[in-house]
Amino acid sequence: MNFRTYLLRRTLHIIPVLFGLSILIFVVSRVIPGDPVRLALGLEATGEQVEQLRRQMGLDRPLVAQYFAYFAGAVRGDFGYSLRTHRNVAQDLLDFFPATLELTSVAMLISVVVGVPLGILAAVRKDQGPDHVSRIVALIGVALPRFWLAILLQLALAYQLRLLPTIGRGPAPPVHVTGLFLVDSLVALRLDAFWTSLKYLAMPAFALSVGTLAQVMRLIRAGMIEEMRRDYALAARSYGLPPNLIIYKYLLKNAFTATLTILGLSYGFLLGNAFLVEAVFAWPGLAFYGVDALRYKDFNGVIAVTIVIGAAYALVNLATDILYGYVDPRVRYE
Amino acid sequence: MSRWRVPAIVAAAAVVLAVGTTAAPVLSQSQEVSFTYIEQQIITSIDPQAAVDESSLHSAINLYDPLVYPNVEQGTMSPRPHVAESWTVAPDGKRYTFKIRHGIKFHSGRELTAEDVAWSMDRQLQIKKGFFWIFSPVLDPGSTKVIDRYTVRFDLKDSYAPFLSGLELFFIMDKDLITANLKPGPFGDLGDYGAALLETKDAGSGPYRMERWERATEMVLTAFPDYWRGWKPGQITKVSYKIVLEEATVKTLLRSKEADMVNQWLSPPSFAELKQSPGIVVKEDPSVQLFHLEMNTKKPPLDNLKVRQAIAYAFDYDKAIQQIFIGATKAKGPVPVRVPGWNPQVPVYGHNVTKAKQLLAEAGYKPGDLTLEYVWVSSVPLERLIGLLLQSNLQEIGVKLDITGELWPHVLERATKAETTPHITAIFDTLKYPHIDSHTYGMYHPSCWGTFRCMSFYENAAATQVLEKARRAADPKEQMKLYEEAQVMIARDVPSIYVANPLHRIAFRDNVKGYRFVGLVGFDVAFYDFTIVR
Repeated sequence: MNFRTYLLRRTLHIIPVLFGLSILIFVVSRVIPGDPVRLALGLEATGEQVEQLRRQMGLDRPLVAQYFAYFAGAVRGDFGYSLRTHRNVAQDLLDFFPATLELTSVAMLISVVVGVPLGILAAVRKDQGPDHVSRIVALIGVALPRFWLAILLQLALAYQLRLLPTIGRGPAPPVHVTGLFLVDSLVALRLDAFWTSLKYLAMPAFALSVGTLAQVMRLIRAGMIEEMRRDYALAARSYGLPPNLIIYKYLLKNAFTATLTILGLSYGFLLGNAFLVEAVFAWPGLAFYGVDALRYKDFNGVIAVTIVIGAAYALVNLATDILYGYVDPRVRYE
Repeated sequence: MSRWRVPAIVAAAAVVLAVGTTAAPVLSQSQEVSFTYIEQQIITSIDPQAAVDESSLHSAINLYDPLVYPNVEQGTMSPRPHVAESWTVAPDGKRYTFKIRHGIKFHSGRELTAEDVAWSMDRQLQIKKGFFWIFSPVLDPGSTKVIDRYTVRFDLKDSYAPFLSGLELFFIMDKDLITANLKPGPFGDLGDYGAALLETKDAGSGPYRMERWERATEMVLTAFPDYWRGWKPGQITKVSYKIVLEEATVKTLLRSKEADMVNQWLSPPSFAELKQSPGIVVKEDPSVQLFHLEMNTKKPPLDNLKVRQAIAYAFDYDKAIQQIFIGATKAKGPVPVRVPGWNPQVPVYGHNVTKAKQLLAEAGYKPGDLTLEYVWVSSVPLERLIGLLLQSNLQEIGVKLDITGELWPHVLERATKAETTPHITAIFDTLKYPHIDSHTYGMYHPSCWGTFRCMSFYENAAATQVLEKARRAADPKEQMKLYEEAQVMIARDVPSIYVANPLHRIAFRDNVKGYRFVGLVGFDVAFYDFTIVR
C-alpha cells in the first residue's frame, strides 16, 4: 500500500467514528434527566416561555428528526443555539478552542523538549545520580494532581515572587488570524506581544505538561536502556562511532515508538481534560466551556465539544500512525 | 492611560443648566481609579432584559438604569426615584404614571425619554426572557403609553402589588441605537430585537460603558463621563470584571491585591480564612435567602398536618444553625426576616421530641411505620448534612429517612408533578423580586405548582384567597396586612421546615468604601457606589 492510499484510508476511517460519536452523544444528551430549556430560561420562566424556546430549538420534534437537523447544520458549521451563551455554538468553539489548542500544544512541546533529554540522560547514567533524580521527578510528576501543582506554582511564582501573571491569557495580539496568541503575535511581528503571551502561558502549560513529561522521561529511559543492550548498539560502539551519534541517530529513533503512542494519546486526552488547570488559571479554553455547558445542561454545547475533541483525538492518532511509519519502517503502512 | 481632569463642581453645575437637567451630571476626575472584581460564574449575556443570574445582572446594573432603584442609602430594597423622578398610582392600583428625569443621556449621547421606556417594556414583554414574568401577568405589549416626552404610563390589567418594586429590575434601553442595528430574527419587523448588537455593545445610560467583553474571562467597563448622577473624586473609573472559577485562585488574587473585591460564592471556610488576612474585610449581612425543607403535602403520609407538625418539632434547629449554617439567622416562617413585610408573629417551631412523638401517635402512626424520602441537590453538600441531622432527629421518633443526592436538573424534573416530588426536598430560595409577594404568593399560590419553589404543593383555599387579595390590594397598608395574615396561615399548615436565613458574605480590600447590601440580587455590586482610598 502506498502512502497516499494509506493516508486516504486512515482519514476515511475517521468519518464513521465521528458519525457514531455524534449519534451517541446526541442521544445521551437528550435522554439525561432534567429540562435544559427551563434551566436556561431561569427557574421562574413561565410554561409559555419554555414552550416557545423548545419550539424555536426544534425540541418538540421527534428525536430522529432532531438529529438529522442537527447533523445537517453541523456539516455547514452550524452547531445550534447555546442555552448558556445565547449564541451559536460555532461562535463559542471559535472563541474557546484556540486557547485550549495553544495550551495543550505548548504543554506537549514542553513534555517532549524536557522529557526526552532527561530520559536519555537517565538511561545513559543508569543507576547514577541523574537517574535517581529523574526517578523521583517522574514519581512526583505522575502522582501530583495537576491542579494542585498549578496552585503551588501560582502561589510561588505569581503571588510570592511576582515573576509571572496569576491568571488569564493576557491581552490579545493586535492581529487575529489563528486565535493562537503566540502565532498571531509572530504574524503581527510583535515580539513584545509574543513574550507577554508566553509569560501567561508558562505556568498553565508547565502544570499541564508535568504528567506527560514524567511518562515520556520514563519511557525514553526504558526504551534507550533496551536499545543500548542490542547487538547493533554494541557494534556501533565497537566501530568507535561517537556516542552522541549512536544515541541520537540510532538508539533514540528505535526507542521512540512507545513514547509516540503515549504522546498521541496524551495530546487527545489533554485537549478534553485540561479543565482543572484551566479553572485554576482562569484560562478560557474548551474544557472550561465544556464543563460549564455540562453543568447547565447546554446540550448543543456538550455535543459540539465532544465532537470537536473526538475529531482532534482522531486526527492526532492519525498523525501518530503516520509518524510510526517514519520512526519504525517495519510498521510502515501495514 | 487616559486621565480624568479637574473635578469641577462649578463646571458641572454649568452643564446642568446648559442641558436643563435637575441632576448634577457630568464630569471629570483627576485620575483614573481602577478596580478589579472577581466573579466565579461566567456572564452569559449582557442583554439586561435577558439577565437572570447574578453576574449578568451585574452587567445590567452597571451599564443600564432601571426605572426605579432600591433605596440602598436607607438600607432597604423598597423603590426610590431613579430614571423616574416621581410617580402616581391610580386609586384602583391599575394605572402607574411616571415622570422621567430630564437630561439623562444614553451612551450614544441621545437623551433618554418616555419613548425609550415604553419601547423597552414592549421589548421585555416580546422577547420573553429575563424578568419578563414579573410584568407579563398584568402587561401586554402596547399597554405602556407615552403621554409626552417625559411622561409614561403603564395600564395594568389588574392591580398588582409587586409591580412597582419589580420595576427595579426593568432596565431601559436606547431604542434608536437598537432599531438602527437590527439583524434578521424571529420578531418580524424588529428582526433580532438587537440580540446581535448586544453581543458586543451596550445600549444603556448607566454609569459605565462597556469597553470589552470576553464571555469566559473578563469584562472591562469605563466610566461614562456624562452620567446624569455626576462623578466625585475617588469613584471608580475603570472596572476589570474577571471570571475565575477556582476558589484558591480567587483568594490568592485578593490577598496579592490583584483583586479589590471577590464574589459571594466562596465557601464559608474560605471567608473565615480571609477574615484572618490583613487588609481584607469580610462583610456579613443577613441575606434574603430562605433555606427550607419543602414537604410534599400531596404525598401520604405528609398530607396529614399532624405528621408534618411532628417532623417540624423533631428537627433540631439550634444544631442546624450552630453547626451547619454557622452565623445564619434562624428562619421564622417563609419570608426571610429582613424582607419588608415579614411578620414577627408568625408561628415558629422548636425542637421538642416529646411533642413530636405525641403528634405522630395522634396521626395514627407507631414508631417504625414510616419511611420518608429526603432529596438534596448533589452540588450542595451542606444540604446533605442537614439531611443527616434530620435523619438522626427522625430516628428519635421512629421515622426512617432515606437520603438521596440528585442533580439540580433532575430535581426540577421531579418537581413538575406531585407524584414524582419527594416527601422532603432541601431548597435554597432567594427573593426573586424585591417584594414580599415572592416568598408568599410565589411559593404558596397553586399557580406555582410544578416548579422547585412549590414542591410542597400547598393548598389552602382561605390562604389562596388572602394571597390573591393581597396581590390586588391597591393600598400599601392593606396589602401588607394581608401578606402578614397569609404568612401566619401558611406557617400554621407547616408546608416546610423553615431552617435558616443564611448569611450573605463578600470580601474586599479594606481601602474599598461604599459597599452596601440590601438583599436584592446583584445590586450590592454597583461600582458607582464604591470609592477607593489610596
